[in-house]
Amino acid sequence: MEPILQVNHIRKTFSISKKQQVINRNKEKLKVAVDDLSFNAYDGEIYGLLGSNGAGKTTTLRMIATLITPEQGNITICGWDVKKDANEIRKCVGFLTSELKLEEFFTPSYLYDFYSDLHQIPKETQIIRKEFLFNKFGIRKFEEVKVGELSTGMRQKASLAISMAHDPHVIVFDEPTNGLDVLTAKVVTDFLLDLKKQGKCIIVSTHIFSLIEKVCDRVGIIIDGKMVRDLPMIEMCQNKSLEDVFFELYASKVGEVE
Amino acid sequence: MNTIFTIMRKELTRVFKDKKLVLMTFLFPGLMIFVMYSMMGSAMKNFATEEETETAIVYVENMPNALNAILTDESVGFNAEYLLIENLEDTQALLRDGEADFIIVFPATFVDDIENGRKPNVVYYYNANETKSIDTYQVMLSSLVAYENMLIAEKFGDTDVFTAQEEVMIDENRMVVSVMAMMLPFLIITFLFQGAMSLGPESIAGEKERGTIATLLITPTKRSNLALGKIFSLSILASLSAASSFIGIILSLPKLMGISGNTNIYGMKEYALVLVVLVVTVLVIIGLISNLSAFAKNIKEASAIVLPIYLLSMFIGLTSMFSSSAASKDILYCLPIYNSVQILTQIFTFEINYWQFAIMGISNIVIATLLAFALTRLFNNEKVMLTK
Repeated sequence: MEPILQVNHIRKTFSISKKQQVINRNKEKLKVAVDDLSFNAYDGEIYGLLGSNGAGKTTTLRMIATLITPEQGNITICGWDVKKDANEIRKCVGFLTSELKLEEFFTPSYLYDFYSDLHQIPKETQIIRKEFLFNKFGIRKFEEVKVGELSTGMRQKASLAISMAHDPHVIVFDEPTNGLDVLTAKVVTDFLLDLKKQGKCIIVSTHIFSLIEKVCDRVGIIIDGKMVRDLPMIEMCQNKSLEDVFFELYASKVGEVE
Repeated sequence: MNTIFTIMRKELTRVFKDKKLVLMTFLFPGLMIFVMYSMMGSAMKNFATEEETETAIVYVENMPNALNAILTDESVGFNAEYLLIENLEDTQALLRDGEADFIIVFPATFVDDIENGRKPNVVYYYNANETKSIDTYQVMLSSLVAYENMLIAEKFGDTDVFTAQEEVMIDENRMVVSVMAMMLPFLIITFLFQGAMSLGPESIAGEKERGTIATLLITPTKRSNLALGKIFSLSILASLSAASSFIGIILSLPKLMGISGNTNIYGMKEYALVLVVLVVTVLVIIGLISNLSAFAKNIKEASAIVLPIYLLSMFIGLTSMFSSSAASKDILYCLPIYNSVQILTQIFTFEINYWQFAIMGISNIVIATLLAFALTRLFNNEKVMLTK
């Protein structure tokens, strides 16, 4: 089967400000966030990116979502090249991250319509899909309440619904359950499994081992911007827990965790 | 094209649905200017009226009755209380302290001296630090001259070789025109910039600060549409904000300037031309502010970056006050902001040059297009857009 998402040897660096150099006590002007990273993801699967903070997970997802561009290598999604066909990719990718915020002045209902209009979704489809997503995430009750007045969980649900407004084929979730209460986290987890059943490709980045073990079909472990292991879940763990596998790899690449 | 309207609709809704923002951006500036300028005008008028009606304290010694008759004549309109000098030094001290306005000392033999052909010496004192004393001095001096002429006529008969008649010709509209042409270009540019400054940084740097710009950037909206949607909506809002201030100033200017003429001297043609200037100028201003705001990490930083440009535009606006007529060289009408100030001066003095008007319009549209293109590039620049 042809992968729907192909990440080929991508590299991304960020310049370090002088202030940051002082904090780091290091005169290096560039930080390699992602280095020669590759993986594939397929329809009907959930791919989990596992790594510590600063490992390069979010940078990788931002490149997939066309928010930033890889300096080397390339990414293709649904046959489109991320550098040449960014707008085509934006039509088929849904990206949800805590970095993406909703304007607090508006209501979830208004913002849903706004982003649907930007995706140029026909009005009739918009109404049907809004009804479905708002019911699915229990947003109906607060759809006319300003985002600024909503709790973190409610905001996350609203963001989730809005990021799904254009019914994307590839869904990219950065820390999908971060900061959520257990009930909302379950809604999100169930939703991921629903999407998988629909044959969509889902990329999830997280450092929560249990979430990956529960929902992911394949896992990629990133350490210091490099993909150190990329295997199906069953092969990755065998008789060990994912947590043990991760820390063994981490110790071999970086050193023991103190 | 549709996405431009979608962006515009959101930006306009954001402002118009926020009562506080509507009040602060559209109603408050005009209302404040009207109330403030009207109060200042009334205060200045009251001050002037008080001075006119206030009784002057004049200390006299041996003042001739004929001079007294001149001073108390209603046509002179001089309201004074005449007191006799008891001690000159004490009276001089009163004048220095502002408790007396004028002292005039005639010799005791004044009338005899005149009749016998001698030249008596009249001494008068006034306080050059006090406005009221200066005003009293002017009335007293002209009355003395009138009294002197009367004495000459009594002695030598009619000495005039000709008569002179004074007719003051004043076109009050002309006065209004010159005041308007001096003040309005500066005020319009200042208010346009103020309106744009209150909205531009919020819309671009504010979105960066709040993290909502990334949400917009992952939609398949063309960056050029995003830039145009922002620029057009901000231009509408800045124009409305400027219009509020403009109406406030037009309504209060007659009171402030103490103009008795009709300030409504401009017709539809002038207002239409002003509107065209406003539209093309606001596009340039918003383009400038949007580009600068895109570089800022937050609203505060954006406002700080834009401030020098605002001050520069105010300085350029002041050029309308340096000269009563607009610049003549065509090339100067290519310079943004300056060209708008000069064309506004032309409009308000009824001396519009349509060739220069066209240069101004085209050059501003070209500059606004370049700025929109630059903003599009910035929206595509991840380092600029996603830096926090």
